[in-house]
Amino acid sequence: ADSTWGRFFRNAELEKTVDQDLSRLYPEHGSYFQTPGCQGMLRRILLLWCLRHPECGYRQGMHELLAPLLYVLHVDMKRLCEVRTQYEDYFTDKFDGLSHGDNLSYNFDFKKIMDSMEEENDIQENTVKVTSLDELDTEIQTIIYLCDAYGAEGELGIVLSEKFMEHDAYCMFDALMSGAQGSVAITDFFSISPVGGSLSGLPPVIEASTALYHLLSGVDSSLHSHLVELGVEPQYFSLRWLRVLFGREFALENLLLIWDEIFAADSKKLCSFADGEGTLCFNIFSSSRGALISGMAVAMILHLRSSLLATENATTCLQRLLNFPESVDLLKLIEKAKSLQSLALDFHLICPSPSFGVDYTNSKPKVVRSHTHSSDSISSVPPLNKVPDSYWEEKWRVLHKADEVKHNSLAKQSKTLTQKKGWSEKLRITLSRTESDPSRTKAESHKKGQQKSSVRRNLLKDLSKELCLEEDDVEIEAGDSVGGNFKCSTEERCLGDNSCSEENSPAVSDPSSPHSGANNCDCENGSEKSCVGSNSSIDQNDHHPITLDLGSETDRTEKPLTGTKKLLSSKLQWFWKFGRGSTGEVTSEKGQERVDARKPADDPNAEDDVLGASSADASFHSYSSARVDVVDQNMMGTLKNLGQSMLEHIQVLLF
Amino acid sequence: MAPVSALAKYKLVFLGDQSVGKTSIITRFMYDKFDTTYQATIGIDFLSKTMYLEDRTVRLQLWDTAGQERFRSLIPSYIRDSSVAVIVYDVASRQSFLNTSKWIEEVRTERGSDVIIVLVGNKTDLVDKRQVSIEEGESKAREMNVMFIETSAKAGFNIKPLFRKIAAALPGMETLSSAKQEDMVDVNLKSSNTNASQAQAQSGGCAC
Repeated sequence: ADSTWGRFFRNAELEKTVDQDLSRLYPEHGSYFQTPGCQGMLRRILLLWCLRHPECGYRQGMHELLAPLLYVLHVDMKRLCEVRTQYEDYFTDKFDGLSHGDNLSYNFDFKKIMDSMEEENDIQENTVKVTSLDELDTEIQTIIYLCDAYGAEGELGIVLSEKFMEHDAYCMFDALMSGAQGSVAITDFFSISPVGGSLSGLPPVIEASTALYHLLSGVDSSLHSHLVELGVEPQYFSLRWLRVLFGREFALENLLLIWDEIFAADSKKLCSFADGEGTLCFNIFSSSRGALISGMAVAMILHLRSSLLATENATTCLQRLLNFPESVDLLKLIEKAKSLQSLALDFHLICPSPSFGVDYTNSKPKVVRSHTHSSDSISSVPPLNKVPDSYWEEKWRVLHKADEVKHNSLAKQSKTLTQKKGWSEKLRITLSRTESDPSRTKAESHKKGQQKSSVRRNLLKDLSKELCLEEDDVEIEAGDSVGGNFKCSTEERCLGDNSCSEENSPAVSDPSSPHSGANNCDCENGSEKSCVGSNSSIDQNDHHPITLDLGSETDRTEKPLTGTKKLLSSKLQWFWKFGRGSTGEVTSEKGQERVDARKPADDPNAEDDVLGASSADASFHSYSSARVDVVDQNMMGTLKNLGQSMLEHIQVLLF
Repeated sequence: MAPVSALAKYKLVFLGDQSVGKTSIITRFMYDKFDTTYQATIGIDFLSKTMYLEDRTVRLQLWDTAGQERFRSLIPSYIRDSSVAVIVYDVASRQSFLNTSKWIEEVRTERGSDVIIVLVGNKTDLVDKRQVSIEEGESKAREMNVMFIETSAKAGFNIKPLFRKIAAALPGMETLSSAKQEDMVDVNLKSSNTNASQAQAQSGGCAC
């Protein structure tokens, strides 16, 4: 079978397959990716890689992992060329003209060379209109410094050379696929058989998908069970998410930012306490990169929460999951992904022995999540392996809330922090903004998209105007002391998100009988309530969770098992009871009438802990003297969430 | 569980080799347009469309699989509760035609005879590249006891007839035709009975 002819035909087949996919790669950026030069490069890299990895071969999607890498290299190179031509004088090699006889070590200090160049210029008072290097943009300065041929770092012009672009792209692609000694190898996601070291005995992509649901069930059990009940199996959508590393879900410019985060995370396998004890662990949680990928996926699912909960149909859910809205607050999503990442890593360290469905192709997985946890049972839970179901959910809430508070109060600081990113990252971002061909077409296509959606958006704006009245009422009910000014922005953003997701799923409205309509109402009402309840319960006790969280975060590295758990379980008991009390009740009471939900709002003193608005209100009064600012912010947060979720639900109802 | 909807829902799964035109057929059906450049489907994609026939309305849920997806453990789960399997080949690629036998077998293994199978020869517009004649297609369909049609998503040829053909063959259609005058809003005991029986018929299919 391994005759020369056999190989020839196999290779011909491979070439055909690769060409078929390459010819339809990124049609929206066709002017870049469809050029013969680019196609040839992609083709050679893919064919070579596949020939060198016959056990894997070519699988659909690989070309979309390679293309962004090549694009980034190309844009970087192009930018360098531009800077070179524009600031030619700084790049001229004046080495020979320098008097450097004194010491040789001097040659390797590029800064000194630069300085001496300037001195030289000053002394000679050249006609060259060179101003001081310091007056230039820092980014340009960096490029110029790095381009010094005699610098110890090597020349940027060699690192980013057209000559080596194809080679570099190959190496980067290979590292991405094979994991480069780390534990995240994308080839695994293409593999149909379990890889070595897998404890679950499942193909890696299925195992990873199961892991995603596991993480989701930890942070949002009601959404998880909703999806499971509908028969939305995780691999249906995560197969694509994982295989092309979210490449289909985001526009190229956003994808590059996400990849930056993913590649910045370490892919080294962390050792788990459960290792060697035969406990099942998800491989994808075992490295910080894998955990971030899972975090990203779960953050995306959570982003679609309300629209998924409003859907009673598997196909519609999947349509929404695979048509992720374009207008998403990317930084916020990444932020969320990162806090989920730390949870996923905790999962790995504590390893609560996830149960794999033995035969995942048959029989829907059962929902085995209980919502009742007395405080006694919590304290008696052994520290290892067994964690109460609600543990992660609570921890996520605390973490998430703390993050948000931190984010609010340190907004300015974080801004300056993000400005201090590594030069390469900064360079990348600014580079991709340059007016090279691909980015221009990108912008154009973007504009087109906006034009198309404007009609829809206008309709939604009208709708939102109509809704404003209702919205205001709700707000007065919820927290009568806060004005509606700050709400506008949230509302609009939320609308934008919705409009996009609606647009992407071509057939949203699902005509159903009045009976089912009523059911939907109840269900939504329930989830709305649960949302409100959980938010407020955290809010009211805000000062506790923050300190607690910080403590646990630092503890985790040293004594991750008992430290965190005990700390949490002891401090959180009453808080837990509180949160569980409202959310548990609410989720189980789907059938209850709508009137019930409204009642507490009318009468805040009657049932303090059911509807969060009233209790948040109470807390507002009690803390107002001491911590007006903080509480104010929290209130804003709560109300924002409340308003947003209500608006979303109202919209869903109307659609 | 999920509330009983008035609309009959049917799952259609699209199978067949790489770039035979599964996504193109669906897009032509959904939006009546054709683009020469569809990205390769990765894993699976999902769409749904309500089809208004002269005597009834049905909701079709289209599961568009990736051609290269020979994922043994995944394909069965796609096929599991589908009412219809549309198996597409490219009339300009003999190999894709030969492979349809495997796809049909796969569906039969999973669903037995409890599923409608349609064999579709796509890309009839490629007249001078044709490698599979219409007779060959017909005889294979007869041999495998499946429905057959030739289409061209690019030219928009036979796409609507394909889906009308499928709709006409859907299970539970006979019982539904008696209730054709029903208004969607008007829910009386009779209609909910029909819905229930219809849902039963559907879930009966799923249970195996």
